[in-house]
Amino acid sequence: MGTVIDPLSNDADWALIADILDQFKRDTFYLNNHRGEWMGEHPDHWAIVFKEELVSISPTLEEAICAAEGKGIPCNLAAVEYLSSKPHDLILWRR
Amino acid sequence: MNIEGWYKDRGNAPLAPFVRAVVKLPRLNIWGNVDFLLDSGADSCSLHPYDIRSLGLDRSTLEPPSVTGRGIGGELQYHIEEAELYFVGGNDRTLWRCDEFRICAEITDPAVADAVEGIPSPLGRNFQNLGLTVANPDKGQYAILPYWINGYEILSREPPAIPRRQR
Repeated sequence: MGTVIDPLSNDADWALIADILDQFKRDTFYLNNHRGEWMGEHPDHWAIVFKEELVSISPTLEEAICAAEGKGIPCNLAAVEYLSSKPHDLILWRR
Repeated sequence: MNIEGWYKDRGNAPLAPFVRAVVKLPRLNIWGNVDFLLDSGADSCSLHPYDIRSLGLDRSTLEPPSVTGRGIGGELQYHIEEAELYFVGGNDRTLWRCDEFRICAEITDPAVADAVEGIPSPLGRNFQNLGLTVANPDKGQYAILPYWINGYEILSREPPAIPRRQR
C-alpha cells in the first residue's frame, strides 16, 4: 500500500518543498483565523488564500478558482476551503 | 522524524486533525499542496473533489475507476494512482510513496456531489499505521511518530508502555 523512502536517497528538492509547505502553513493559519469573519460576511462561499491574502471568495468552487487563476494565483499552492454556515459532517452524506 | 499535524477549528464543528503535504502524481506530472484530514475511519488515503480541482487534475487522464469506497451514507468510486507525499516539520523530512492513492471519480448524482464537495481529502489508516499517533487537542498538537529512523528502517512496532495512574 505504501513505502517510506529515505529522504536522503532521492533527488527531491527538499528546500523548495519546505518553503512551499511553510507558506501553505501560514495560509491555512490565516484562513483559519479569519474563517469566522468571512463566514459572517459570505456564508456558504469558497475562500482561496495565497500568501496570507484572501484572493477569491465565491459561492461556487469553479467561480472561486477561475477568479483566483485570473489573478495569476497558482491554485495548486493555495489554501482552499468551503465556509459552511451549517455543521458539515465529515463522515455522512445524504443520498 | 515526526510528521506534524495541526488542529483546525472549523467553527461549527469539533476540532479536527489535519496534516499538510505536498502531493505529487508522477505519472501525470501534477503536484500541489493538500491539507489532509486524519481520518481513522478511512482505510486509505484519497483525494476529494475540491483538492482535485485546485490541483488542476483532469480526470480524463486517469485509468477508469477501479475501487468503490463505502461509507455509512453510500458509495463513491475511485481511480487509483501512485502518489508521493512529502512532509516537512521542523528539521524532519518524510517521503511516503503510496501505491494505491485514491482519486474520487466524478460524481453524477448532484445531491451526493453537493454533499461531498466541501469534505476534505482523508489520510486513512494505511498512512496512520506507519507509526504512533500523539494527539493533544488542548494544545493543538498532532503528530505521527513513525516506526522508523534514518529513512526507512523499521525499528519497532511495539507500542510504549502506558503508565498506570497511581492510586
